[in-house]
Amino acid sequence: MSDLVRVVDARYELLDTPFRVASNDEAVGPLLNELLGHFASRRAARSANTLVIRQPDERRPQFSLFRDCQTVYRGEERQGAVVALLAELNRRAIESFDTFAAHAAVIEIGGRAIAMPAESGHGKTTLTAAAVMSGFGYLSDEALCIDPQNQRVRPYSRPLLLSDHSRDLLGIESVVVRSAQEGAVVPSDLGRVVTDELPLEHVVFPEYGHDAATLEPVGAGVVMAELLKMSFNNYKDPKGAFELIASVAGRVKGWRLTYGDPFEASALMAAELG
Amino acid sequence: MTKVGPTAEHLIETEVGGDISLYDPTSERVVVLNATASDIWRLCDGEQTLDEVIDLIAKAYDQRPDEIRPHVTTTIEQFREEGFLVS
Repeated sequence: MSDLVRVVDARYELLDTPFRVASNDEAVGPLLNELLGHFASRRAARSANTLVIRQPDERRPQFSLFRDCQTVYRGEERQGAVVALLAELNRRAIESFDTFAAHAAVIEIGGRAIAMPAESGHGKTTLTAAAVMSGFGYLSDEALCIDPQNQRVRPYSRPLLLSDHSRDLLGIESVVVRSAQEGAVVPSDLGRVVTDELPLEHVVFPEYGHDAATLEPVGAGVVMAELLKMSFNNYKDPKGAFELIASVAGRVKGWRLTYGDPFEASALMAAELG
Repeated sequence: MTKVGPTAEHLIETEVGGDISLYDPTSERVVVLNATASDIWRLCDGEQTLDEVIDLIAKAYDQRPDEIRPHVTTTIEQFREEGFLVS
């Protein structure tokens, strides 16, 4: 790394974890600003959270992404390296986060948060994008982060990574960067981005692949079991997570959403939960 | 006849929306009981026999004891297998 001329050297903070991102490729700077500018920070990062994008040279004919001097990605395209950087930042931020976080998108309506827990690849980000384009506020397409002190939801407004198919479905034409699999969209290009902590009011379990959109209530036990199952980090404090989610599940309203069209689903949620 | 229960002391129990959730700190497992299992759990206090639990559940759910016996027996066996009951 000593031979790296850093023309880009930026600091970000995601979910309390400081990161440093450096590059010898001038073109990376504006992309990072657009995608991660709202995470800018002055805090110094540990070497384990220092990421470097290096442009091709005589020794390495491809774009490379390193974290803590280990290769994370190699490929022909600069944009692929930036998408890999976004994925790595997200992975590290979630891994380092100490309080309860579950795999869920979070949107806002009327100053209250709606969490939508789902595994990757089940249309969560597409539904979130449609909801934000329909007027909901954006908190996250990835993580439901609950402050154990006040049980409010922390925003984690990372860029949305959408496949070509999803972008076609949503009518989104431009992306900041794209890899072979997906393109990164800045949340504020879709609609409102929420920056305040909010009370959690609803937990909606989305199921894609149905005809008409329907919304049916589910019990608090289901909410509790599913939130714990979808947790990234309840292993760090299992008893604390159990107590926190028991309290949350007893207070929020749980729903099962079936849908085929994410915009129709968003309209139904706005009508029923707004 | 043998009494059912009591429940294991190390379990942390909470009620969520009327149903019981259990956390076992030794295995770090969480079990969320449905409504019927929660009612059966509440009767596993070491004071009732299996037949008494079946009768009480049958009355609560307006069922005949012989209809509900297999379900109650299986649920209590599962509690025992999980180590949630002392006896």
